[in-house]
Amino acid sequence: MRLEFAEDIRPIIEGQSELEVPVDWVTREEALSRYLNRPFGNSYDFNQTP
Amino acid sequence: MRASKDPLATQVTSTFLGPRPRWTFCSGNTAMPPTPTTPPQSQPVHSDADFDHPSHPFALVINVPLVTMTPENGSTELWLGTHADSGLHVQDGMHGERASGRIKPHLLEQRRAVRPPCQPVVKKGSIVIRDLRLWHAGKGNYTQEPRVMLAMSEFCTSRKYP
Repeated sequence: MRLEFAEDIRPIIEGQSELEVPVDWVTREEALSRYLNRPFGNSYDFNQTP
Repeated sequence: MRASKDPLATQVTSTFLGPRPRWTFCSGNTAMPPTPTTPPQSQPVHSDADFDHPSHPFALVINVPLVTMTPENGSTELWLGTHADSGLHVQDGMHGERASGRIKPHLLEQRRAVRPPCQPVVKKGSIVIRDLRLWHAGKGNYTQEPRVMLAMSEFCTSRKYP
């Protein structure tokens, strides 16, 4: 699983090293256009492998 | 973003999961006020670990309420201690179904006799950290204001699983 965040918060995420954060970076407009259109929680596969 | 970088939260999660946990889920849960045609409803008690998972700690959920959560507005019901005997043997429903990970009813009643669930009051801006395996249920909102809660999940990277 990977996160999807807008580019405008990239400095915040990349400014820390305590967490591994896999991100697909998109424009702010893309993020705002679809962040609410997501599957329900348990549809995500939490059985991820490292 | 601030919660994801909170040094105290990360100290707890990295101590529990091992160094540099992987943050791969960032979402939110909103319990909406009732309407004339939609009364307050509860989720079935379930575990988010709706797959064959290891018996050791491997994932945490970090919740941050954006409004104070109470039993009246749908504070999440928690079944403390239930992460210790978690697995497919206690669940109904396959991954991918709407209500996957439902806890078998007779096990709920067994557990209720030992330690019943609670709906804690959690102040706005608090940080709640729970094991992904913990039995829990979203509860109905009986007020007129949405109850909003951020949800982030972190996974261990220092141990292979399952």
